[in-house]
Amino acid sequence: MSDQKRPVYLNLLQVKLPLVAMVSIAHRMSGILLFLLLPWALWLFHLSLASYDDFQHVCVLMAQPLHKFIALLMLASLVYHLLSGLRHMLLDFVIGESKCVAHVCAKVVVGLSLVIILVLGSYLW
Amino acid sequence: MVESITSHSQQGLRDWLLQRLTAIVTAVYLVVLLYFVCRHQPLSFEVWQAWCMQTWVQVLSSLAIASILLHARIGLWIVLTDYVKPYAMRILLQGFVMLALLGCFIWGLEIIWRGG
Repeated sequence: MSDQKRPVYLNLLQVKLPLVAMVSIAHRMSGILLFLLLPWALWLFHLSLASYDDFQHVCVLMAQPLHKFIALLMLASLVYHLLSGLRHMLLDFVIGESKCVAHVCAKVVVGLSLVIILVLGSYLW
Repeated sequence: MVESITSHSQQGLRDWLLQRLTAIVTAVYLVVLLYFVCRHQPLSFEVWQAWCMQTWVQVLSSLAIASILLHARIGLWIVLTDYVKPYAMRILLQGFVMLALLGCFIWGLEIIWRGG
């Protein structure tokens, strides 16, 4: 290695990440969140099909703030993960090769996610 | 031959392709599900159960749950190899993820095919 004197100390708190990086990291975080919430969704899915009474129980549960909050969290993660995933695919297929397009694309993903999450969220609440 | 340093088998391309394929299957399932739920508001137990117990829905649901879990396996593998440096810790976490996903898969299939 020729550049052994390169600085190795990086203050992560002072590194300002570009929007594109934030979008990418948020994609990962929403993915992890979805993985963690999967058993909760399966549990509700199970209850909703188990019997008439259990189905009614799901309706009651969904009216409680805690479960409503988890549902919204999962919905938001899902919408965001889907849209930023589409962005990944667009980038794969050449469209977002240039830095400028990738940046605009990232903005669109964030904006569109917020709109959809707000619409679906207000509908669900 | 380029020596692989990230994995022992040449799984990169396969994972890349699988990640996109499973994403598409999951998205299709979600759209179908959303369409059904929106068309049958307010949803009753009878309608919901009758719909879920159709063979094509059961097959699609099974494909979706398999896709979600394969997708999660690849995604979490990437995240864990990126952020968890200590080998033992990473193997432990990956093992936990695999078991959790396998458990969810079996549970999901049971719900889909037995109804709850």
